[in-house]
Amino acid sequence: MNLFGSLRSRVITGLALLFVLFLTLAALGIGSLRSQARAMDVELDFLIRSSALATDMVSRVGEQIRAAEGYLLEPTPELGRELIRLGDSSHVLRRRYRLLPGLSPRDQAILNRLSLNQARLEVAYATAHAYRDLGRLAEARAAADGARAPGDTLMAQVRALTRSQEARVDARVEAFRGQVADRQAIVYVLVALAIALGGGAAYLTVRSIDAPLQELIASARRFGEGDLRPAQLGAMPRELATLAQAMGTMGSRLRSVIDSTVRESRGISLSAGDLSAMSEELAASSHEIVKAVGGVTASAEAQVLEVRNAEGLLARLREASAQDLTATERVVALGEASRALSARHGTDLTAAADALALLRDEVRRAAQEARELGRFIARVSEIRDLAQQLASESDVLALNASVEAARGTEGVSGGGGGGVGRAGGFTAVAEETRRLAESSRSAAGRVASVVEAVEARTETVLGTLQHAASRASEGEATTRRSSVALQEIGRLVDAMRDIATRVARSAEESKQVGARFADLRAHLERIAQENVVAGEAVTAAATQQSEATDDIATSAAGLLEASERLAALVAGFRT
Amino acid sequence: MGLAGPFGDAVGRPMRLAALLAVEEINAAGGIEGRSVELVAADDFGDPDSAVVVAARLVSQGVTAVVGHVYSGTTLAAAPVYGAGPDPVAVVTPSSSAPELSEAGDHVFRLCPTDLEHGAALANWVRRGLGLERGGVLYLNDAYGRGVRQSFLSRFAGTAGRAPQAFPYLGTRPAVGAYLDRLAAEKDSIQFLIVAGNRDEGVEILRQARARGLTVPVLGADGLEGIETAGSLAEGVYLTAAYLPMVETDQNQRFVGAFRTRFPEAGAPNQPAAATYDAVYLLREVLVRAGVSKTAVLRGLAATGRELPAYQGVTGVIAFDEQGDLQRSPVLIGVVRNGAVEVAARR
Repeated sequence: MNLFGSLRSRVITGLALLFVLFLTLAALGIGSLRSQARAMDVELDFLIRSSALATDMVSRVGEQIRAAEGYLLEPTPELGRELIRLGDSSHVLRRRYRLLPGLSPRDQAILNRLSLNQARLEVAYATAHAYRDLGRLAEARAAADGARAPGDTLMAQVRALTRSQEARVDARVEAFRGQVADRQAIVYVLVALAIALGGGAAYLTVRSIDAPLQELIASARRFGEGDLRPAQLGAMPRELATLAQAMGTMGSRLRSVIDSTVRESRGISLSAGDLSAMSEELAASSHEIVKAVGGVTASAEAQVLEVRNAEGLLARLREASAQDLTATERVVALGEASRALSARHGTDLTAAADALALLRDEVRRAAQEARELGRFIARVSEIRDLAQQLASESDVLALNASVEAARGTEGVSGGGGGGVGRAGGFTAVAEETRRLAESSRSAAGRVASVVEAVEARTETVLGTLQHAASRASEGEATTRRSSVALQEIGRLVDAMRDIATRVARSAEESKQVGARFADLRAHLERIAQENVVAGEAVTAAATQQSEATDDIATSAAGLLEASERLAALVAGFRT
Repeated sequence: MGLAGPFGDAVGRPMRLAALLAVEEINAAGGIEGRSVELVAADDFGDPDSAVVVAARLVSQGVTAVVGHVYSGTTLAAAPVYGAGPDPVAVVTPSSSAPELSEAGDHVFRLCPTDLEHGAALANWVRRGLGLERGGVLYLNDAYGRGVRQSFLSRFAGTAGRAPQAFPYLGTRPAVGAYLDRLAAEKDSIQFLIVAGNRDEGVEILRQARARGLTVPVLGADGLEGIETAGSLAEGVYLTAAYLPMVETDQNQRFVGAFRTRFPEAGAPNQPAAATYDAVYLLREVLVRAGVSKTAVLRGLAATGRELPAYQGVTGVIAFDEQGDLQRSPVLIGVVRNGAVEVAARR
């Protein structure tokens, strides 16, 4: 395993190196300071001790000389002992001085001579004291003078020793300075090395991060621009290599996702194409429905118009019937008056009376027929109401169909979500239209039967009236034959003939009305036929629409599935 | 192995010979673990300044240990030179008896009693052996003389004797006339004369004392060794000794025999000679047991008689205390009879 393969190990190694350098620097610095402090302590201690010893030695010699001179003036055993004590003490001081660390051979030599001079001084004074004890004062003085030279030498030697120690300390201090300068130089070199190492490590680390990072950024940018082809990246630290690997994995996953998306999109596109075609079909069938419903509407309006015409005809027929009824009632009254008149005129008139009675029966039948006709006319009114209702329903239906057709067109271009609901609307309209067509057909049937009945009745009334007219003619002939007495009856009969003529005219008119009704029936039948055809077209269009709606629903389900798969694919990404 | 001493004088000359004898014997016996011993001898002339120079030279020559110096003054002067630096050189002095040598450093060892012991032995002999109470002390005004004087006076005061007067002198032919005149003035009350110095001064003082009619017994410490050669003047002189050649131990008889055989002209070996002979053999033992480095020699010497076994030498059992002095150091009292030293008493 490569030790420097990862940024972490590089950074840790760099830091450890710097730390070691820092520790070395610190150790060197602290060591220098400590050794310097120790050396200074030693030197200071040495200087202090040597100075103190030198001072003590000088003062001890001074005391010795003072005691010795005192003995010369006034000898006492105490002073003699003091002299020896001071001498011993001086030797102890010298011995201690000799034990100071690091004395040079020259120092030792000075100490030796110093010791010798002290010994000479002591011997000179001891000799002088002996002479003093013997009372030989001049010799004592001479011997004491002999102590001066070693005493002076001794002082000079102590000073020389002190100077030697000072020089030594100076030399040591100078040596320390040199050492400190050397250490300083080493520390500077190490600091420079540390800076260079730190800088170098930082540069190498930054470079080892920067170059692969640039490659990764370029790779990421390519990804961002949509180029998902795998990138060839150079050697890089472990962490960045992991990142690059993660990016590569991400790229390959994105590639597979996008491939799937493209496939799904193609599927959706195909479904959308299907949907579009179906929508066009739906639009076309909607237009057909609109057209068919327009036809139904137009024919309904024509029906209304025709029914309104029929209403006019019926009014006229009702009026004619009323006139017939009045005329017939007057004929009956005239008939009664004629019979009474006939009875008065005897047997001649019996034949006329029988003829009149027959006429009366005929006229009664005609009146009966006229009543029947009135009832039929009332039923024609009902048919008119039905036609009117049909017309208004056709209007509503036409409006609905237009609205649904408009929605159908809009829904196709807007999406497939409401296809089933509009299909239901069309189906209802179609159903309504079918029902209307049925109603129209039955109404037309009923109108036809009524018209036939009216025609039949009218024929019957006409026959009855013609029969009555022929009876009346027979009565006229009988009456003419009954003489002048029957002149009054003749008038009555004239009146009855007028009435019959008027009734006949009225019947003629009714016949004409019946013929017009036949025309109306034929027209209504045609309209009904047209409505049936339109209803069938609407039904066919509605069926087609229903099928198209099913297809749309299937396509919409396909689209839904595709969009769900797409959503699942997209859900694989974290945002 | 370094050897330092006053080879030109009567005290130092036998010492050098004894060292030569020991080294020859050791090398003849195969050296130390196959390596022969080389003796680097340096004459310090009995002078402290010379001793310092000699010590520096020996150190620079890389000696493992030094046998020397003889006198307390020279050993004390040289000891700091041997002890300087990170790797001190062990010094085994055969005869430096100054008490302050005990404090001269861990690298200093001696094979003789201290002056304190000599002075004390002398005081005991004067008071108890001879029964004398009044006298005078002439002392060489150096470390040795002062040491003997101090220990004598200290022990003498402890034995209820009257404190004798002490007079310092210097030089081998000291001007002690005034002192002797002074003592002669009290001739009747003076019972003994102590010479705390060396042989030559002792002879001169004897001569001057006798010239003034001072016939009281003259006594001295080991510094008077060899005074018996001064003829009749020295007759009756008492002296303390760490070693006397007539001691009848096997080691001593062998050594004295060998010495006389090897150096027939030199006469009997003195204490420095016997102690030097012991020192060379002691160092051989230490080199074998502890190692050949300076530090090892130091450690080995310090351990002798403690961690390491004591060495049975010519001068007796050698075992060091913590200060490098002998744990036990018998002091002999000798007396000059017919030009020879006889054992007067064994302390």
